[in-house]
Amino acid sequence: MAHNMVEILLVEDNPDDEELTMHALKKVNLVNHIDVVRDGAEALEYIFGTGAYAGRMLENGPRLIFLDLKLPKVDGLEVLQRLKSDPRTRMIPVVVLTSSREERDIVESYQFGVNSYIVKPVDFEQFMQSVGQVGLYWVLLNEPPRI
Amino acid sequence: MKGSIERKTQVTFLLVTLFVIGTGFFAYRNTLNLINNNQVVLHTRQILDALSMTLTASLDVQNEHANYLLTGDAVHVESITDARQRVLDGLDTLNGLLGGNPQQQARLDRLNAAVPQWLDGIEQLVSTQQQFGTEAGRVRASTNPTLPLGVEIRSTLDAMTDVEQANWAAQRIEQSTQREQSTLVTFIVLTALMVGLLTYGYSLIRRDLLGRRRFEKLLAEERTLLRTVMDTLPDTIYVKDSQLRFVLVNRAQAALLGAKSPDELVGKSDADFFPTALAKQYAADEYDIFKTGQPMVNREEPSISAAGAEKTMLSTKVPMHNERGEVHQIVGISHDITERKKAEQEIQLLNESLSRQTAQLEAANKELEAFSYSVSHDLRAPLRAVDGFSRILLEEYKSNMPPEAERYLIKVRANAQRMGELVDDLLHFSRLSRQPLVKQKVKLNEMVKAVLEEDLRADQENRAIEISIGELPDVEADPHMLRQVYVNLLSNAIKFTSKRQDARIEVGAERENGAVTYFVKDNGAGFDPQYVHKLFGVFQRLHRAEDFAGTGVGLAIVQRVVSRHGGHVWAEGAVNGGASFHFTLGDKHGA
Repeated sequence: MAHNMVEILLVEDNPDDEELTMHALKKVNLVNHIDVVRDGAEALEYIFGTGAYAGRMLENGPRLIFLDLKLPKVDGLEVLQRLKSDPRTRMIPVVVLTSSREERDIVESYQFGVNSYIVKPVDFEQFMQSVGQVGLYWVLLNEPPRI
Repeated sequence: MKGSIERKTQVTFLLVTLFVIGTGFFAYRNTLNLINNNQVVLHTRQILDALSMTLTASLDVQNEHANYLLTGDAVHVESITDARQRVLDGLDTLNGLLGGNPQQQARLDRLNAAVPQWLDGIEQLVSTQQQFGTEAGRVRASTNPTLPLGVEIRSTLDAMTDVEQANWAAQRIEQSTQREQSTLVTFIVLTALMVGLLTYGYSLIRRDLLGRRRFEKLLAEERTLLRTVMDTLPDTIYVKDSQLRFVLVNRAQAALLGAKSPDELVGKSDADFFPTALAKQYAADEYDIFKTGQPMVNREEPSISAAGAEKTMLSTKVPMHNERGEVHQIVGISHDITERKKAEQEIQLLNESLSRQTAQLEAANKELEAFSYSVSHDLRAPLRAVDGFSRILLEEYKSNMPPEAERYLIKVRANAQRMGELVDDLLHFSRLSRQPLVKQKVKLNEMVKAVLEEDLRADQENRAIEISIGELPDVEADPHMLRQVYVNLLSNAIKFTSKRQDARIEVGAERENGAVTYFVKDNGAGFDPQYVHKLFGVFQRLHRAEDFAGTGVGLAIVQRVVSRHGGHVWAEGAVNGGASFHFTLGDKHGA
């Protein structure tokens, strides 16, 4: 594993949720290689190495994406669709992390090929458990196939 | 004999005519016969007269010759010549009358041979006596061979007379027989036949006349019936000729056009009553029917009554054909649909307003959905922050925190979590209202068991509850929603019996008049019946939070699901007397 390899990309527009998510991930020692972007457009530029992130190589990760659905500019479902329809990014596990319990969102996410779907609970204990476990699962236990 | 009455009458009168002709012919022939017969009789009479004359003349010849022989007087010679001439005349007459008569021919031939010979002999004797004197005549006469011929001639004439007399008698008898029998019989038979035929003919004509009278009566009755039917119908009925003039109309049509009686309209046309444009439109349609022979069926037409009321009529106009197959009249019937039309317009207006309302409702529903979506995301995020940061505070700064501050933070977290539950329940409730109902067959017994064993397993931990499940029918319902009903009713029952040692819950169904009522009963805390109307409202609670936890959405969900299935729900209970909840799922449910 390369030294500058990014483990996790967190796509989250709410700074409070960002901080709480980081806190949860810190609890399971996954905090070292995390990058955060604030909206869907930035997320796509980051992943595909365009715009503000021109020159960033896809080989440098991320190995896991936490994706909020309700995002400014480009919403989470569209980001998910772009990732899952591109052969270069199709294999990156995406965990949707959202407040929405709406069935519509859940069904569409699974149709686009989401790997996990976590409804952010109000209760912080549950939140930490869910995020920590899913993060650990995808990053540590589940070696993705080489691209 | 079968056949029409005309044929029978014809045949009968033909027969009568034939009989009359026959009778005439018979009478004619009879008369001819009579005349003929009279001639035959006359003929015989003439023959007899001729025979008698010839016989007398031949006797005269013989007698005068004898006298001459005796006296020698020349007077007798003249008499002989005279008698001799009469004999020849008589023979001539007989030859004329009997020529070709087979009965007398042989005798006649003999006479024709004998008479001249005999007369010649007499003449020679007379001339001898004149020349040589009486004595010589006498001598010669005694030796003359021709004299005996006179006897033979007379006997032949006698024989012929006998035959003719017999003929005469026979002819007279025949005459009288004919007159008496055949004539009478024939006339009686013919007359009887004619009387019979005339009687038969009369009966035929009489029967025909009676039949005609009956038929005319029927016809009159039928005409009255038609008139009554036409005049009783509320629809307007009219028959028009090829000039579109009324031939026959009913009372409704007369009333529409403001006429006192239907007869007033005969000969008039639409143009006499309706505004020109309207009359022209009708005329165009009707001429079309005459031209094409095609009926006009159920056409909606504007119309206007004599009183000026605008109307809509549903008209059907049909061509009528004469014997040659040409359209010579049309019959029309129009039904007044003005009221129906008005009602339809009202319905259309209502429909339009309804679809406007539906559109508004749909818009409102969309807004509500957007609102819920937004609530779901945005309302929970701050709560999560409140809870999350409080938790971090409690976890990481506990050592620097006075116990009072810790207690407050715990309260902050409890309230944030409580609000999270309220938001979740509210979203859940609104989702149940918006989701489409997907009905399928549900095995209710299995569902109730699953609810108790899966959804409510945690609620029953450390509890001893006697739960009895009765026979539940299979139902047509949305399984996901119906499950919510049982989850809420059973979780309530478990919750409100939590303070009893002998907790009992009963699940079942009752069938009454074909409708099935489902129920869940418990012997728990119950409720005050005077607040029963508040039981099913959203966030309505009849118990204090410290007694029984809850958000007050459960029963609202039950009611919403039941009413979306077309049923209704009600509750019975008393304080500390248990509670029972009953619901139906609409008429079609229950197996």
